[in-house]
Amino acid sequence: MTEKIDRRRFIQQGTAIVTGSIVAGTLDPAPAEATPPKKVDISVVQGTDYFKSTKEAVKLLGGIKRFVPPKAKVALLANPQRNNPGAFTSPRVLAAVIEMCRKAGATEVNCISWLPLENWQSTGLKSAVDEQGAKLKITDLKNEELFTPQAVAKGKQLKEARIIKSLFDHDVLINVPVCKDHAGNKFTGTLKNMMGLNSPKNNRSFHKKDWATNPDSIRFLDQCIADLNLVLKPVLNVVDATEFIITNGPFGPGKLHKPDRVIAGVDRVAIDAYCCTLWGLKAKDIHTITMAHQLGLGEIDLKKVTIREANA
Amino acid sequence: MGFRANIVESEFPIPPFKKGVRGISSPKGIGILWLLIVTSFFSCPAFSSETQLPDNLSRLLGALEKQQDWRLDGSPQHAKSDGLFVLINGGAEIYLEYGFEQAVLANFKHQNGEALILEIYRMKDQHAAYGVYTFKTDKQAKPLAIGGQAKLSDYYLNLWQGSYVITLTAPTPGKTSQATLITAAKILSRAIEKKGEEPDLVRRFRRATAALAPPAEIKYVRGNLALSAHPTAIKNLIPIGEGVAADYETSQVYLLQFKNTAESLERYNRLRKAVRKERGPTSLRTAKKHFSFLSDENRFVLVRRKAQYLIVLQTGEAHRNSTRFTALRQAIESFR
Repeated sequence: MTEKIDRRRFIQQGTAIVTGSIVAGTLDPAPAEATPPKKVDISVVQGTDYFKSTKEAVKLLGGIKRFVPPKAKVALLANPQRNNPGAFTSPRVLAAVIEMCRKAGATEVNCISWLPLENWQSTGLKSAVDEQGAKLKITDLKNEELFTPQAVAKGKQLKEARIIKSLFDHDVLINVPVCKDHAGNKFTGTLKNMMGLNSPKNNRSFHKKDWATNPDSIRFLDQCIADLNLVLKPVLNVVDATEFIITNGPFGPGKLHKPDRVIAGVDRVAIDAYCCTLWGLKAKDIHTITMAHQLGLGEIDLKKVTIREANA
Repeated sequence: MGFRANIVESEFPIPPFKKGVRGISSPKGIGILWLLIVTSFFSCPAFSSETQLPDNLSRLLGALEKQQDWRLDGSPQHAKSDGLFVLINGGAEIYLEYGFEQAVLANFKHQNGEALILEIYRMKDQHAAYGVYTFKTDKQAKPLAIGGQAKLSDYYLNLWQGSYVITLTAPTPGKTSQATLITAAKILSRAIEKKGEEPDLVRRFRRATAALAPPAEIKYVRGNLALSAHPTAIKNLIPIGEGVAADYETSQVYLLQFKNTAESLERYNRLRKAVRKERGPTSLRTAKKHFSFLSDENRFVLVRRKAQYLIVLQTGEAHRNSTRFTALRQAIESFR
């Protein structure tokens, strides 16, 4: 059965603990069919049925039970930016993740956010949450008491984050971003999505006073995003790369790109390095990715990453 | 009218009271007003008239609903100054760089079943609005004769007029016609008094290059963030004040304005030093009034200083001696 887990520690060191526990056999073993014959770092599934693609992408990694132990309380972080096409996580992708978590035996599946309800409603994500029997837990962004200070000991620039308190009531964090263009960072995916768990006030501290005119201050912003990822380690990332904006990001509207893909994996750097290639970007040109790699958060060289591709 | 529904202030996400409260005269209305006063007093003193939609934005929302068979779908969301960081989460930086005041976002539904997303940004001045407009539009979009300037893309339309930038978007591409977007844009345009003028720097740039075929697009830049969006070898190297980026397909021109000649000289020397450091001393070709180098993408880059300006020309290695590039270089060097 599930071992007793220190939840706060779990959030900070999620990857290591879940993977380690499975290796050590302390969790319920995953079904035989869910065990991949070879270690897969990233799975990429292409198809127009996004619900099916999402499930297939996780299956290629070894199945959801590798990440969600029975009776777990699962926190999901989607991107409900607003309803401009290609600017928010597809409700079909989120719905599939919720369904998988529930089937894995999760006792609770909650989408946590500090973005207002209107965003969830206009994007259709609220309906997806309701239909799949999950819950939406919105934190009042004006109340800093609802955010927990979290030291970023190894952060190069960011020394303290302020994380949504309710996250610490969960056992598992799954990141469900949409990848797309970003005016400042050129790219947003798994790494930048973590700002959705940090208080808006703290996010603002990523911007120095001269961020608009000083190139070093823009790099400071990128470093803060990479640093934030040191304390937030989702056990799984499921990226919506079905249809997204490649200009005027992150809000849009902009030019739509439709690779019809869902990407899943644990390594955020590798996933982002892969996703940015979907519209011709190079990981080495994206500061958040290179900085996260330098922090040891993942592999930037896709030649060293095992990618399994499939069609759904 | 629909826009009297609750407006969500991004700084205070709990639905506040509406603009129309001032006009309540019925007994029921007075009761609601008292209830709102009492609840807002006890719940959060921060709630105030700040949550009201300003008249100018309210008028624009109303213009659309009044003249068409449109109705609001949900509550409009409003933000001012830094509140934009919440309203368009992560997308605010570029607006703030140009100079932002207020914004409202609203969803509308037409009785014929079409829908649209309306974004209205009131910027600090007409040039800030023009800059954001040029940042948001691209050369593939179709220019329209609406307002100051307007461009139609596949499923959305951007309009600049006076201090406003307005974006109309089909939430589901293809389900709202382009004709509908154009009609709505014309209605909104009529509700704004001033058309607006392009910034002086842009107008002077146009004059200097008038003899050439017009560029595919011009972008007005007010900071490093806007400049960094351009594929130029100088990105992130020059903190600038104001600039023009013009795309001539095979060549690009960047005209960057600084406070004074001392500042432009300092930036010129700093850039030259940075290029030498990054690419090695043999990478630079320096002449009396300019220097040039090949970028990482094998693009020929020429940098020239003229009074308080830096002029950066960029073209493919194959085009550096072409007639078109030479004409462009001569034209821009005549800039004053």
